[in-house]
Amino acid sequence: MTAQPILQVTHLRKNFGKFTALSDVSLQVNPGEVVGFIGPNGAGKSTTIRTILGMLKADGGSVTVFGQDAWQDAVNIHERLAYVPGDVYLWPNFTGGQTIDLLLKMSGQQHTPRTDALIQAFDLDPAKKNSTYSKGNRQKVALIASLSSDVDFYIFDEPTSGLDPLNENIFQQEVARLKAAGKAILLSSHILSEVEKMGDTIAIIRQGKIIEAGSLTQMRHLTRTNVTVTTQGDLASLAKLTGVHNFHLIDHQTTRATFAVDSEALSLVLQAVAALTVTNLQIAPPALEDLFMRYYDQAADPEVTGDVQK
Amino acid sequence: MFKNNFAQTGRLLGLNLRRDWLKLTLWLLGLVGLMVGYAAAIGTIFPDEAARESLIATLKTPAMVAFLGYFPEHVAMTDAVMFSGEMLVFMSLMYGLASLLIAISATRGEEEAGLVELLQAKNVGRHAFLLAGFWEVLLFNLATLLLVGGGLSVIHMTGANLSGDWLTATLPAAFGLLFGVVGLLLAQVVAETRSAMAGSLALLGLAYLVRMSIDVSQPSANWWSPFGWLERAGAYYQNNWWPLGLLVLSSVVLFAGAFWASDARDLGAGLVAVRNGRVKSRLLRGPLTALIKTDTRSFWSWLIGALIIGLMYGSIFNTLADMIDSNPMIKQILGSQTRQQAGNQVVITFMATLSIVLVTIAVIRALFLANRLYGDGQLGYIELFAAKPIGRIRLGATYVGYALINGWLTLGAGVFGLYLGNVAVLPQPVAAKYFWRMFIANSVAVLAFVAVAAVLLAFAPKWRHLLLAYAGIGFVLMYFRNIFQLSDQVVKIVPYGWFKNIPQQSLDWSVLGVMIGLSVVLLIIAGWGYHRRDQIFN
Ligand SMILES: Nc1ncnc2c1ncn2[C@@H]1O[C@H](COP(=O)(O)OP(=O)(O)OP(=O)(O)O)[C@@H](O)[C@H]1O
Ligand SMILES: [Mg+2]
Repeated sequence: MTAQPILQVTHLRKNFGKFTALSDVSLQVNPGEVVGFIGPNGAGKSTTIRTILGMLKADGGSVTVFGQDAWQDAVNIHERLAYVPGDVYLWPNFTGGQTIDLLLKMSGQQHTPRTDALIQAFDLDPAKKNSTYSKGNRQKVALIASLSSDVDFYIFDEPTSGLDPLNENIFQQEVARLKAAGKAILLSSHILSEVEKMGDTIAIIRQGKIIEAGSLTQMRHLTRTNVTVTTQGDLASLAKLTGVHNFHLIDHQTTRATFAVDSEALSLVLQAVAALTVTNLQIAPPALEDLFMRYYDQAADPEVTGDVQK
Repeated sequence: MFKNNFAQTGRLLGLNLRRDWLKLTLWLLGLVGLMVGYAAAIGTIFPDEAARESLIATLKTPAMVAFLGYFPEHVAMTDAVMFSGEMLVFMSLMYGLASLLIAISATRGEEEAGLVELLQAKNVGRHAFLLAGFWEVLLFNLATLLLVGGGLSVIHMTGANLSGDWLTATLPAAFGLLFGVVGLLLAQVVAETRSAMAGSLALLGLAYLVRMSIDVSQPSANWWSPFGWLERAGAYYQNNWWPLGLLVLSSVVLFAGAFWASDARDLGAGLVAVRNGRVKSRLLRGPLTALIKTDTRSFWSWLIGALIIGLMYGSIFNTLADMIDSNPMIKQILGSQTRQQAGNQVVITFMATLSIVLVTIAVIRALFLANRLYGDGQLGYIELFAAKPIGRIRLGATYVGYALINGWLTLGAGVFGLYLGNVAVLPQPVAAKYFWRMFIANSVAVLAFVAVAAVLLAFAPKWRHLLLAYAGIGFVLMYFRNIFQLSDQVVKIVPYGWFKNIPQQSLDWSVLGVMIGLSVVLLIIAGWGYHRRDQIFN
């Protein structure tokens, strides 16, 4: 029993009419594991999650949660699971407090001191009507109800898209707490740096297909280190070395350049650089954003492009 | 200043027209088609004098006056006079309905969809949406005016005159404009599309009800309702144009009010700020209670509305009974019974016609609620339920069951109102058993409608609105089947056509049983279909 994964998705396919939203998705989440599920807009993250939740029926492959079929045994599964949708829409004439309690009750959960603590931490006014909440506050309502549930599996679809950095931080702490308590967590996002802070494992989806999955350390192996260097010798020759990419001279000077290096080629390239007498060297650690960009179409997502430039 | 407030109104109007063209065209075809089509046919539908006489007698009965409006006395009954008497009130109701729906979706609807925010950040004026909505309604009603006016002048019914033709075309258009502006005003005052619609529909209904109760008792006081103004014009026989001035003047005043409200409020908000509420609710625990809580206001509105309409019809029962005194033919048909018995016999016959009004209200209420299974899915509420340990069948059954029970409650309120009115005005009221028959038979019809709605929601939710149209057609068939002289087979295309002689006749359980059986089968099919399909979101 202990070895059984909480979530097991194998070769999932889903069509909407003629449109194939998911062509091949495989995914696994184990107890005590935080899996980041990343991909550009329209890649199929929400569709995958809704299939896991038994709201959509798979057209191929299998989805099991707690060893049970996601579609057939949805009710049993949902007793042990909490979910926050990507777009949170709430009944306009209920207050936030009423909504949190309703969401808890429907899961068979209690309003506990933790719930109150979370309301405080997220700084939510529970007496306000849902119709007067901002997007972020609506998201907080759903987050508070989910985070104060005592279940085994948590699914968050772009949970921080409406939160300010302060609240995002609180959310990250909460996820860390759940992880420490041995819970399984699936987290979708298109911002990699966010998942990087919380996740152990990431799965990258694009056009309905998982194109890369593995632990963060494995992924870093695939990434490139960014190097900015000033030397006394002529750097132009470096451009031709294998493992060097995006080579640019700075201000058209042959002594200043910036480039990316494949992790495997790093030591060789650095030796070549050292031979040119280094006066200044900056090495940026491999960010997953770079890896991400390799899988994204360059112009696909301005948000990510922005992240890379900073 | 001017630029600030109204910039880009023209472009916005263009966008609105392009987006709404189908809706506008369908409304236009429907309204103009009914007006011009009936005008063209009126000369040929009732060729012989006897048929005309019986039609005119029917139109003067309180049930028809209540529904279609006051029918002039002591006026030569030409086709033209008959046309305006039959059509003006009812068609204006439709014009008003169309206009307010168009107006609200063009203003508050857009705002709710976030479009206003998007465009106001560009150089679109503060009140541009309001003004564009006004133009849309105005153009729509002008189009009906020209088409209907032109059509009527070409057809030239017997007894028609040019002034009457254009008055008959202009009055409903001005009435449409008035309620379009009411829609615009409410869309500024309240913060949600749903409330703006409910509010303006309630006002339209109230105006109609006020006219109804005045027309059957004291028609000379009918200027209390804007519907009465239409009757006051006396199209084709008096041709007063002052009611038109009254309609336009009130539209102008209300539109000024809408501007004031639009100026005084914030984007996305109404005039009245939403107040905080209680942090806890003892009621809320699942989908059903959530549905009940979101529905509270509608629940009471429909229930009270149905009760009032029932009461209204019930309170004209004595005028119905009086009628046999003045009509020797009916006396003759009913034979040698005492006046009292005969009178009640007439009332019971009319109850069959009235029941179609009450059941249609109940069916519409039930269909609106059942359709929320789809609407709430689009609003994202179903997603919150579906992630909980709540089975799909339970979720679907909650919505459909709540719809069914509310349909029955609404029907019950209407029938009960009718009964109360009956008790209040008749010295020897009609026995309760007739009301029970009426209620039981029609509640089976409500069940049948809900069952078909459930099947549509499970298999073809896009087509869910068809059923509302079907209910509308059913209403027209049943209410006017005597006027149109429809055969028994034709009216059987709607459920209530199968027991059209309830409550004079006792309940025929072989028919009702089959209907119940079929409904249950349909509900099971719907449950199966809903269980195996995706939950559709946005
Ligand atoms: N009910 C539906 N009917 C038809 N197409 C759909 C439906 N739901 C989703 N799609 C399509 O499936 C694709 C995947 O959508 P999905 O919502 O899963 O994307 P996502 O990865 O969550 O994107 P985002 O980051 O924007 O939330 C999209 O192209 C979307 O248009
Ligand atoms: Mg999504």
